[in-house]
Amino acid sequence: MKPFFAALALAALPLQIAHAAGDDIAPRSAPWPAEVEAAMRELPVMSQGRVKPFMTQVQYLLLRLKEVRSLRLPDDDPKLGEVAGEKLSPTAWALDVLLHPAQAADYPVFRVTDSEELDWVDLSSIVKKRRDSYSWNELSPAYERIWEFRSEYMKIDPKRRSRLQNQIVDLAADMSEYAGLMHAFDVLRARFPADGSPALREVFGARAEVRFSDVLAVTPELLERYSAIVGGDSEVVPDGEHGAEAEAIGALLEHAFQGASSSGYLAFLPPPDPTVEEWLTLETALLTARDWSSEQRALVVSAVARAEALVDAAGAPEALAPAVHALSDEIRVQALARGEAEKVPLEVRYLRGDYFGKALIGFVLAFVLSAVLWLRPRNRWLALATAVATAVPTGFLVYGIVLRCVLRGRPPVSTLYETILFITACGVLVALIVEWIHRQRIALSLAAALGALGMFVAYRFELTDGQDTMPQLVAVLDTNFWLATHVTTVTVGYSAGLLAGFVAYVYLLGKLVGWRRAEPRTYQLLGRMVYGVLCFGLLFSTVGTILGGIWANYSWGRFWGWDPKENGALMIVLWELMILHGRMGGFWRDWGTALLAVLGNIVVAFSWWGVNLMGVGLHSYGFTAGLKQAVTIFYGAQLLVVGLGGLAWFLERRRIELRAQAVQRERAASTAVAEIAPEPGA
Amino acid sequence: MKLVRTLIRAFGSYALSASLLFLMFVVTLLGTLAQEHMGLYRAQATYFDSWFFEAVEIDGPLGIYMPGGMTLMVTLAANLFIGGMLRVRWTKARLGVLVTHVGIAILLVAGYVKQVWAHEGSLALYEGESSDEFQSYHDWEILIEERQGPGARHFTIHQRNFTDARPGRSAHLAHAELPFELEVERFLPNTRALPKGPMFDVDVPVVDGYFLQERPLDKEHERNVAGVYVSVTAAGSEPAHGILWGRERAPMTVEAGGRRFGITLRRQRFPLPFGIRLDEFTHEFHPGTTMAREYMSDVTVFDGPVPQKVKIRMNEPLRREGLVAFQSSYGPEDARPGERMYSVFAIVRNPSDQWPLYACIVIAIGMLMHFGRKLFRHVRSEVRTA
Repeated sequence: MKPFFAALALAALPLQIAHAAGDDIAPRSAPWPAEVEAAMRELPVMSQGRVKPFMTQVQYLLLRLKEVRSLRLPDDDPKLGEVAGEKLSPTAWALDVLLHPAQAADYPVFRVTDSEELDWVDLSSIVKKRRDSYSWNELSPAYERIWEFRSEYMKIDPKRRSRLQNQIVDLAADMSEYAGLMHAFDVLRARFPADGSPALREVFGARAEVRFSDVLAVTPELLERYSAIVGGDSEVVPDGEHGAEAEAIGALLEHAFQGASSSGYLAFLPPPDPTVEEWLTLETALLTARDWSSEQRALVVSAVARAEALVDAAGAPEALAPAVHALSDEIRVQALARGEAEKVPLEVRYLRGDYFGKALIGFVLAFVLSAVLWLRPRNRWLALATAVATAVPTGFLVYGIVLRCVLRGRPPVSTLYETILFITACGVLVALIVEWIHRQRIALSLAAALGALGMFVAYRFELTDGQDTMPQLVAVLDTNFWLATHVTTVTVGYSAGLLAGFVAYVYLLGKLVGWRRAEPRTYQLLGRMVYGVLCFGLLFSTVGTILGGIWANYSWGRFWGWDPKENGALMIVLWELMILHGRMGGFWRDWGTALLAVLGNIVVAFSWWGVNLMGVGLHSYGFTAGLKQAVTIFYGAQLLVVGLGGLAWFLERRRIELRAQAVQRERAASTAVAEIAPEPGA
Repeated sequence: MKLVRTLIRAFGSYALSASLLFLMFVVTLLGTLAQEHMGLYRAQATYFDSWFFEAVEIDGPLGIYMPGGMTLMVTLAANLFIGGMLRVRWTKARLGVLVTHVGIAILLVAGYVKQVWAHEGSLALYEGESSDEFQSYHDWEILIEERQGPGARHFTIHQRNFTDARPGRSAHLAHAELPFELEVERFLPNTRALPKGPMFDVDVPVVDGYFLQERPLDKEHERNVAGVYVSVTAAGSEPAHGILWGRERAPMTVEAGGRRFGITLRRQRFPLPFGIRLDEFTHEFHPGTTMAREYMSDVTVFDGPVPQKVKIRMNEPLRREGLVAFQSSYGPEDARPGERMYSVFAIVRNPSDQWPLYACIVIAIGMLMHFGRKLFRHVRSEVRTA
């Protein structure tokens, strides 16, 4: 078996994937029935080492290609025919790519951020706008060229590549992934001639053509017959009748293998051998078929046959729903028997629930309401509405985080994306507690603003990163104890540091615009809030940072290594300690604390994001560049607020001085008057 | 007396605390940013393990200097002790602060103990191999081994004895039991021993057709391979010149006083209090990916009469006799199934190993007491006002 396929793999021609497959399939004219989409969404697949819903895999693919969560097809493209103007979910889009590849090849799903890219690969003729989306059919003529450039550019250190070079590297990767999905089911459409020799007729009965599942079912037998003729590991086919037999069997297997070799993108077959972890693609199924017992083989063959039925149903709408259900159910049953995919329906619920998207809208609404409430502070209904409007998105946020914990079986934070969710949730909750203590509606508005900002950052992050937000963890992070202790405490510390900075915003900007100037108690309270939240943050940052050292000592044998991430956490602690000690020493009071707390936002942002941008870059260039820009803007915004706060301080000092002078002058004037006033009775 | 009082007041002041914390913040920031171009080891040496460093370089001998991590830590310790523990009013309201400061003091002491008494290094073993010593990451030593005879023994000379050796300032090393004197003429922290060809000249001595080519320091400090030029002078004979290079396995041989010696330059070795043998190394990936899920070494520890089987894996080190062995890395990276693997352990002997944990608990308790009390009083007063 091994030598035969090894020889085939070597002999295999370079894959012709630049064409779109399935030219003869009738285009889809009606939208996908809801039921079909629903069943397909929950089809378990393995990708990046994890069993997940089909929906997850294709949703992030679409995000990577086009940075969208659903695909709206243009109305005005005649090539699109009846689907023009349709809005497709990621699953519906992927169904099109799998089952109607020729039609889907006209969908504009490749986002090209700079048309210069296209000039570079000789595609100037198709350029529309500077930034636009293109279809597979538009780009594929340059597919090979794009890959040639990519191989050149990959030799360059990613940090030294030009923007254009990085974009082309990314485009090549995107196109190859798309091609992977497009060709994943090609071999299921194929028909292999099976009556070329007596041996084949014996194996397959009197059928003129067989499908991939038929070949898979008898692969061991075919290989045995082949080896019996050719003998052992030899590759020399003897002459004569026997030789013709061997050649016919060899040709059939070679066809099947060639066809399956483009199916690597979709690992949707649970391995029948319980000791094997990696799920099978059609290709690896064929390669390992001989290692299974006949019962095991029957399982895989049955799943493949259901996939073939689905492919066939592409042209017959009434057969679609039963076919997709049959496939999805079959795979799920097999996966469940292996103890996998139990959480697939829950993950689909999490994805479709889009709790963080809902939280974003809710927080924005709550912020607007709270702004109106400032104008009409006595309206009790409005106050109630604002409170509810803040509580609901907070609920979504917390629920989403809890669902993620259940899905991953991990504490809330183990990836950069999860830090955003968790830090936002903590910030909002702490703000709500502060509101509960002070009831000034300041912290309430802040909670809404912070929630909206955090959810927006999470949304953008997911969009730009385009990667599954529930990845497997590297070996060192695989410890729920330290994730639960160090990571959560240190992120609560980040959260409180930022919240203190944002409360300080209110203090400084409020002073600048003269808001509630007549109520010094408001500012006293704001000053106390900044101080209190800083203390809270200091507690968590300090304990979190030391816990990080203890983890490092426990895992690597050193408590402190001056690594950038460690230093970032230490810097937060030092900064907050400095603020508190300076305040204790009387070097600054509320004003200084507020100004320094806003600068503290820069320290937190540096520790949270800045150090990740140093040295080794994250994922892809576009992502890092975008992130760098966002972080720089954030730094700039803090400096601006500090500048404005400084101005406010200066103005207040001046006002106090002027008032003091005026009082003095008044006093002087009244004394003078008293002096020249004639003595009564004089 | 007045001076002492003034000093105590200055060293215990809030002004000093706030300034020190700010300076530490700045030094940490600079030392973090510098890592991008100078690597971690050198940044640590320049900013954190130093007393002073040149913050702004100016052409010529002058520059603008800033206190380094050491100065700041020592001053902070004094400030903490005087201001945070001695001078602080010992009242109920201050108890939390006091406890917190005690915790920080434990942390600082733990750091000091580690700096002075800890050893760290690594041990690489192929499957089936065993060892009872480990080697330093950074420090080198010269080993002089007597090759034969009943009194065969060995001598080691730590790098600090010759690290400054250069032409005109060579280091002379001698021992009463050695029949020769060893002179280190020049120490090069990162070099390559190369054959001297006829087509080029070098500005270092050439010994037996070889010379040491100096190379810039690598960012990853443990990748640097040191080399030294030495000369050996036995009583009544001409000095013999030689090159010792960190990668060279074959020693330089010396005969003196009728005895034979081998001299090598190697990374400093530390003895292990027990023997350790790597039986098997296994690593797992997340299915279908190249992302490590786990790597693990099955080892046998020879400590006492009965050998013991132990597993060392990520987050599960071996702790024994004050020494900790961690799974650090493995190889060869492109090993095929069944190929003989090696496993690398990081070995640390640190007397203050567990102290940061105690410090953390103390600090957490102290802060909870202090801030908890403040929060409680604040909430109570707010509720009363409302």
